[in-house]
Amino acid sequence: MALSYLEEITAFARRLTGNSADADDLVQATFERAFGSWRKLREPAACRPWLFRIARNLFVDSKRAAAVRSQLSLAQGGEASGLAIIVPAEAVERLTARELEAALGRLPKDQREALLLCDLWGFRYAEIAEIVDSPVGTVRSRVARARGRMSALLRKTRSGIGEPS
Amino acid sequence: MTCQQTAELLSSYVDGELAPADRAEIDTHLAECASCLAQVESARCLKHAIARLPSREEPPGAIRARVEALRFGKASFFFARRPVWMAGVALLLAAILAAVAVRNAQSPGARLARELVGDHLRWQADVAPAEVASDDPQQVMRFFQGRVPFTPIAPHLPDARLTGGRLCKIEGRGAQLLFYTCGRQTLSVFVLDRDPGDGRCRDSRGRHVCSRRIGELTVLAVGEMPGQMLEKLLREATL
Repeated sequence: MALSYLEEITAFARRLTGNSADADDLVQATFERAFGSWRKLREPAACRPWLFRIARNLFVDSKRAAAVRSQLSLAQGGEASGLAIIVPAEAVERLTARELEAALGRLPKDQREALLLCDLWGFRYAEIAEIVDSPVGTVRSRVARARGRMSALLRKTRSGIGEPS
Repeated sequence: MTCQQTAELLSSYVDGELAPADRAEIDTHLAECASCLAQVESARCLKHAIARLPSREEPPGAIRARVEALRFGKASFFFARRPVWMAGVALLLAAILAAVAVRNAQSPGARLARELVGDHLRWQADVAPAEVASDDPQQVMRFFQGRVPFTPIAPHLPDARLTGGRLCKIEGRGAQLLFYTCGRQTLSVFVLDRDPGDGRCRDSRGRHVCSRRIGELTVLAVGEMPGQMLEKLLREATL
């Protein structure tokens, strides 16, 4: 069953590490850990978020904790917490994948991670909270902040994409 | 509820992550506030756009082979303590298994499941409005009449309530997409006029896809509930 998520974990690892070589190592380490601790998985239905959690934990462990904390703390604060800046829906529909990726790349890591787990991989807030080891309220806030920031970034990306309300 | 209070909850609203009472308050506010409604539409479109980005990547063949080998025991132990030729045999076996897995992952059934789950996430009633919103099967079927290349249906599913539908294209051909709610879950039910696969239940992005032939049509249900429950729901479906 776990192997049916190999392609998703590969995509997740690529986004975490930013390069193929490290992503390949992370994918292999993730499944090595998963197969070694299979009995810890209480419910088969939870396999998918469990694998994402293992991958993320391994990635965080591979970095110096202080450096990660520093990156995360730098990412906090300063940005809009809601959806106050309106980008017209039609303009969003015309966005290219490259423009979207560029805007995603400018989000703070924790916000990008929460938004992608929610919108790209379709996890519920409670599942994301398990994966990133944070309270549900924090996940909720990160997703909202990410969307607010994405709107601001995308409005700047394209001329004529909309005016602030 | 004010615009300020609403703004703080809109993101959770779009994700279907609000308590029913909060959701109802926002629905009331949105009915009267064009500005907040525009924000919701914008956030939904952004959510759909991100959902269309690639969520899966094929790993290099060597990585797949190693992961496959891990499944059958401790690869590192095997490679460290056994003669080289045995490691070679293990790698060959893993490569064969990987090739089979790749072929399965790229099979028409797997591709279809990915497409259906993509549509389910994109169009689920929480995220985008239905083109026809009704729990009356006759009204829903009338909407599809002449718009799909077959006589439309709206199956009755036990313990599930029809809420509406919209037109969609599956592999380039017109199909029905029907929405149902089952408890707190949303189900997407696709109706096609051909037999797209082997009848197996499949997983994609954490959702399950099961199918049943009804006459010349194929009904495929997509949802978060376990495959066995989806199969049962389809088995007990009536027209």
